[in-house]
Amino acid sequence: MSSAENSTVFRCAVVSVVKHAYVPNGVVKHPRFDLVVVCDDTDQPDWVHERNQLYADEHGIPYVRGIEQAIAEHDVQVAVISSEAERHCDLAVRCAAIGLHVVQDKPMSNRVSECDRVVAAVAEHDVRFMMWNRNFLPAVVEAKRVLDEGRIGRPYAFHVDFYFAKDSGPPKGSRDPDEPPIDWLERQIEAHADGSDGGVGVEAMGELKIEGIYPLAYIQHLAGCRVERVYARTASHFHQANADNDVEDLATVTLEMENGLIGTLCIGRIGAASHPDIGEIKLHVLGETGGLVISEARPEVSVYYRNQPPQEFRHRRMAIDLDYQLMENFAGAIDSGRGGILDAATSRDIAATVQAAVDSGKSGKVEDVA
Amino acid sequence: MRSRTSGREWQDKTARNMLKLGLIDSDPAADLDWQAAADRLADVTIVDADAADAVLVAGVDAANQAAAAGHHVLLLPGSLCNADDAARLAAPDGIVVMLAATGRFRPSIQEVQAVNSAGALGPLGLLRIHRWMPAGAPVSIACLAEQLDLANWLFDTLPSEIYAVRRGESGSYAHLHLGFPGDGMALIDVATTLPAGDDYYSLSLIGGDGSVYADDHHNMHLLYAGGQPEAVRGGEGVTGLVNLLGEFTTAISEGRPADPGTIATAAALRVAEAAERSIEAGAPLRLDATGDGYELG
Repeated sequence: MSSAENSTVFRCAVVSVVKHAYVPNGVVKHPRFDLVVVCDDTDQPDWVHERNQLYADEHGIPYVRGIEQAIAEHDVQVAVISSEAERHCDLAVRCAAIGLHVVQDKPMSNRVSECDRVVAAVAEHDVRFMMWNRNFLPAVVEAKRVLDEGRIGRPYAFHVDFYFAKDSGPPKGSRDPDEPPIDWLERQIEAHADGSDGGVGVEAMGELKIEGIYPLAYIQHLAGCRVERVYARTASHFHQANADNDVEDLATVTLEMENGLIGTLCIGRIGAASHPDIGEIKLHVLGETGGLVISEARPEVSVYYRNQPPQEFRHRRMAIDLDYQLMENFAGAIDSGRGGILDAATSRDIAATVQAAVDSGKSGKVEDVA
Repeated sequence: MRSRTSGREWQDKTARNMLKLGLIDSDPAADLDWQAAADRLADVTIVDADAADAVLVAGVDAANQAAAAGHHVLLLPGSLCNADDAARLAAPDGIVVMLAATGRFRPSIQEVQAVNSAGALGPLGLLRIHRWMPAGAPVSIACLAEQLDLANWLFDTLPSEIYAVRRGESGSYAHLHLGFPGDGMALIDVATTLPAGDDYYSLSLIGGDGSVYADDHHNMHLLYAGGQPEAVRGGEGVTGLVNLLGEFTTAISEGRPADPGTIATAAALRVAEAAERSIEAGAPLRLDATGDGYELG
């Protein structure tokens, strides 16, 4: 049954939107979700209020300083959270405590202990939670279908390449030794203009924390297993901001999963020169009777013309139904009172895998996933 | 011994300084590829073994016997099971002994290394290799070493850290995770679990200034014959063998060791053996103080 057969429309509060507008914008792609208010805590800095106000103005909805007040005044059922990373979980816990279902931007948090709080709050207050993810991209849906049909037998190895061919400020090695290190938050605020501010927050984060949930969610989605042990190599290879803040922009991770399954991840913000599009994002899956090679970007259309702006993507993704399918799944979870893709517990496990990878990158040892 | 040389080729080539190659330990299908490769070179011809001044053989003992008899030697891939085997290979003065592995000589890989060695990629950060094959046989040390040789070559050094896992009842899958001095890293997986048919190869190399992707996935044609279309790989033909033979003959004519030589082969085998130790220990190994071996820790 499609959730459309249930006509209930969920009123959504955009609880801080300092980072990616694509999350609340994606939420309202589904006819059962409406944005009714933007809100945030009153004690936030000016740049936060400015971004929230701008989003509210663009969508013709009010911006209220005071989250609980906004929710009480606007009859809200769903919170859509896209704040700085270190505030994600606390906002989610507060919203769950007043009975809101939660859609949250990545990363779940930069601390696993914060993720644990969300898992507990969601269970205690019996609300649904979804981390924004890309599991319903057409290519990933196709990969899942092929595996579910048993076309390659029992899958045993899952490999994901997840490169973002973007620059992130000045290249590594470009800073004069007399200049101060790059301030992480200032750099992220500046990066908002080109959308490369996925790591916005006071505490610096590497690519594993910023983007890791996407490819790890692919592996979890396709394998259906938890990761038990991790070995990782990490490096600040490309960008001065990462080097200055001791966070990786390149990582390789070996994942040893339940039932003897193997996974690997290559992830990096590898610079705009490294690929004509957003990056080479691929899935390789080996099964006992075959193998599957998937390009996550497909289907796409190629566009080339004279005087084409250099920043314009030459290969453009198309037929993307991700937003609708995510929210359809979430509506179904709310209606049924259970389940949903990338719920709190699964997201928490992925955050713990990310933390183990970061730890392994520093220790040089195999790390158990907490 | 079969001779695959036609009379016309013989006439064309006899006037030159010709390397006469005897295919002692080959099979009919491979013979055709060697012949096709020789056809493309002006200075190589395939002859009967008793008329050869270079031979293709399998196994260290056969290689050493041939070398002792004054023949240049091409050694079939898989002949070296471990680093000790490589150490036993003898190469008397003036004799070229070369592993007949086409890994470095495939056109796609040569393109990768050409870009890399020209410095266009900047400092290397990451190498990823998928090597998937049919057959179901255990992934051997020799098989791992073929890919590790590429990693060592591209990074121009040995890995400083190695972690590896193996899966499959018959050991038909191995995954290697390498760290290189500086901050380079590599993931290599080798599987022999594909069903009978084509293999799959993918190599990507990412540096600080750019990247290069050599991927069978990018080079597939489509065949429509009802139902879902079939992917048909645009292969690289025998060009890898041609390149390998070119290096072999050039090394002979210049009186130098072939590149890669047995030292590189032995190094790759040592790394593969370290990977096996990592698999047994469930822990990473590091390059030891000698820079020549690996230890847990």
